[in-house]
Amino acid sequence: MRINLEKCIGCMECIPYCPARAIIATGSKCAVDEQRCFECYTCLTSGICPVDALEKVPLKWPRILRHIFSSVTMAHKWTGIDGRGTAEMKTNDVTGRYRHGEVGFTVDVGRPGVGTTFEDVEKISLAVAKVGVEFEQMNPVTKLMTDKTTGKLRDDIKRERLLSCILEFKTKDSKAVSVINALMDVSKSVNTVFSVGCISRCRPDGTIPVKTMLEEAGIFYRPNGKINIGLGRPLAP
Amino acid sequence: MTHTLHRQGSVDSLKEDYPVLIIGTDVPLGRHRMRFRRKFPRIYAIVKRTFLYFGIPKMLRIIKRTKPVVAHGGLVFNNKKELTSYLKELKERNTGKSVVVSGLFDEVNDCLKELNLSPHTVQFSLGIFGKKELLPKGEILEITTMCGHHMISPNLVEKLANDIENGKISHEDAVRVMSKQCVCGVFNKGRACKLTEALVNRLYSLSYSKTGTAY
Repeated sequence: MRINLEKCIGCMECIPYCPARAIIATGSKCAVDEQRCFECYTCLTSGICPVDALEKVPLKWPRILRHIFSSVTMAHKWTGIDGRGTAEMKTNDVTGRYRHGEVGFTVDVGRPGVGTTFEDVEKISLAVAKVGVEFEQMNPVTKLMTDKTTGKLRDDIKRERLLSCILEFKTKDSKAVSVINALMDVSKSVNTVFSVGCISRCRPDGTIPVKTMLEEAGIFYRPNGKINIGLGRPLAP
Repeated sequence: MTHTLHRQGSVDSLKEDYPVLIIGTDVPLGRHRMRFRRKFPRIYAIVKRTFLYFGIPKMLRIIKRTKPVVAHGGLVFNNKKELTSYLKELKERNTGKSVVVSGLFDEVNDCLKELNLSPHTVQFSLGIFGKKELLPKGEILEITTMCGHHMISPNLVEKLANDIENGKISHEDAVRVMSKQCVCGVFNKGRACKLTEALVNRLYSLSYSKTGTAY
């Protein structure tokens, strides 16, 4: 994203719209700090500029990743899915991705509202991979891994900044607490924040195995979350 | 996406916030708002009546996931009664699509019990890890986390709060500006109005320091 200085009238109205705080005042005009910009186009789509001074810049690899992950309106060509992750537990009643005895995790890196780089994303993927997790194949970050067993990402993307992206993986019940401990450890070395979600299939009697596990381990969880209410028709019986 | 998982706020405030996502794996391309209206006329009427944001035009986007095709829609309820009524209708229609309800576990489970439904899969939010000092103020996060993709800039919320305080804009219009940034249709306008009012009161009250620490 850039600001056409010929058109900019310096009204500064666009500045607060930027989630990256990349639009800055330079004298009587505004400018975009290219290093900070997520290429989310939020400033442009808000329609706030009265003189249409906000302009897209053609994006090449790897900078295009900033736009794909941050804007969420463009599908990833390698998964066909737009946004930052997949339907994860939302369609579990249909797909059966998370089964009894397994715990799923979603790690929204850079969320809420801080942003991240793939360098930090890799720190987290490497940390959880050491415990022993299975990364979701259809997740766009997994597609950027050069080694899906170690969680290593491509080297050419590490410096790219994005509003957020999601690591999705699952593991056995017995490893869930170790994964959370690994996330707590790596949280000390990242230069951002990340929000963690923990997924569990409910037993037929209504009990939730991971809930007991979290409580026994003294791990905090919020009183609100997401519930798949089981109205989906399974793809296979 | 984890969309509605990490919504922040007090238990009392979250009692007015129930986003629902409907996700199909077998719907044809080309679905749109009018089709939803024809297929679910009662649901459409209920949602319209409750004022809360109905994001079907933006939200019902088609996601081509090779095959099968996945499409989804999202809306938000502000009370358990309307939520229960909506879920009852979905259950009776037996469309085979996945339905995900977000909110306080105790409250949502009450609704499910009433309909003789039980959770299939749940997702807990374990909260925020990492450099929390980089986060915006808590009152602002309560508003911005209602956008599933976090497209509402914390600076925008703060600027709008300032405009409200200076009489330049009403609470309702400020919330309208915020909701325009959210593409997924799960931004709860009613709750946002209340939270914005509280934010303005706190930011501009004499007992509130600029660093965000209440005395």
